[in-house]
Amino acid sequence: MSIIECRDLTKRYGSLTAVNNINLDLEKGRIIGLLGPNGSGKTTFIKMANGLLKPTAGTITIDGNVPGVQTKSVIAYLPDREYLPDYMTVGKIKRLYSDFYFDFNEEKANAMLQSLNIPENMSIRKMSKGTKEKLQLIMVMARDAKVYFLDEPIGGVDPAARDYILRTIISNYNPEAAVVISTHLIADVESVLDDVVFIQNGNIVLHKGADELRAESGKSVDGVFREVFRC
Amino acid sequence: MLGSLLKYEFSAVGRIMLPLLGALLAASAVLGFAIRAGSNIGTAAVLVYAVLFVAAMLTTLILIIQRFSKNLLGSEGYLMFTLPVSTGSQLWNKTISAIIWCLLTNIAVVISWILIMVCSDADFSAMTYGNVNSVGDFISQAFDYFGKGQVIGTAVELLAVVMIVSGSLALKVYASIAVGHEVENHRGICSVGVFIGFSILESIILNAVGDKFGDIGKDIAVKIADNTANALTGVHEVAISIGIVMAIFGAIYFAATWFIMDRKLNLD
Repeated sequence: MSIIECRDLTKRYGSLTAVNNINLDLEKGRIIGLLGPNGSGKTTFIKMANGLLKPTAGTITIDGNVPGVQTKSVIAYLPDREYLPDYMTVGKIKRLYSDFYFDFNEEKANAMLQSLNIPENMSIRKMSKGTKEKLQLIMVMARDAKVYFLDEPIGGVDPAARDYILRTIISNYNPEAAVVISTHLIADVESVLDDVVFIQNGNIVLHKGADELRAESGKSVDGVFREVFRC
Repeated sequence: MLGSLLKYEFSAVGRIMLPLLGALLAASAVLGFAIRAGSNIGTAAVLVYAVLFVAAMLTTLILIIQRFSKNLLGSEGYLMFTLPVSTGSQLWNKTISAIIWCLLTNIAVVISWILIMVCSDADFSAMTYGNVNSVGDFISQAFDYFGKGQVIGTAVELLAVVMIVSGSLALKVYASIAVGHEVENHRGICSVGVFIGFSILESIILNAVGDKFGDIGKDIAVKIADNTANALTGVHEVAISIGIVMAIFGAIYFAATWFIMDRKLNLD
């Protein structure tokens, strides 16, 4: 059953079309790779799903609702940037998530924070870039959400941190949920994907099950990606 | 959810404003005692007080701008706009916080003046009207002259007007930033231009209705000169008129900002 539905979804910036007339249904209980090169429209799509950008035309619905208070309470979103206020401590960020999201699982957050030795009283300002990214991921994955949007979760981190991030995603997501992972680093995420969506110049060029794609093409998803997006 | 938003907003602004207002009050007490002792640290104390006074005013204004532009329309907006709260709650949160911090800054300034007077134990009799020698004298004579209810009522009314004017100013800032954010380049300059434009429009409208205020002002002056105890009636009229006009401006800015944030949001 589709939990994310797009109908003729379009976003233009002046003469530039970032997302072009997308029709897409994504199902729950699946880990979906939203794959495309830089500038292909991945982030624009995710931001429209989160209500941070308004579509120029068309609609996107999450669990039957257009982006708004209702959808925000069931979406866990990891943006592709640092977004937590740097004057806050880990403990305060945790309380903020707990105050606003009914599905925030504090025990889960505590366990992940302890496993990384991130103390409650540590200020975000004093953290390294990698620790900030891990903290953001922990706050997002500690929610029992219906939809997770993870925008470039492994971009800009070292291979060891990539492994930690992917393990965290796999071991913490709600199995009934849809998990959308946007990235251009296909080889690193390929093993966890159920479905793949290729996006190019704002258009969906492929939407298939990962196993089906591998069986049909005789190649890995990474191999197919390199062929489709050859420069 | 508005309550939760306000809790975090107060903590974010308070971590800067509370120490600053505390320092202002401490500096005013030091200045008062320096005057009383005839100490030669008086000049330095005046300078420190003046710097803290200007800093408190400027910081209040800067925080009103920054808590909107950075917290909502900057990278922190990715957190704020994905919380399950309505756009209206987000905007009320910023407006209520701005009103309360403007009020607290004003109250701290008035307390600092009283502290200077009390700590310095200065003789103000030569500078004041009649036999008003202290703040207490001033209040008790005002009660006798106008009636206690009238004075307290007027004070509450003026406080309400200060709050409405602060809220309206904050909303004018928010509307200017929101309109400026809609263009792709030079957003800061554009926001300043929009703010100036709004201010010009406001003054044109106020000029149109301002003649009425002028007449009431003259009326108050005549009544005070005549020792008429009804002088406060004129103050009520001016306060209510200003309150209503500024509330209308504030409502228009609120609607414009809400529309842009709710229907046209394009977070970078």
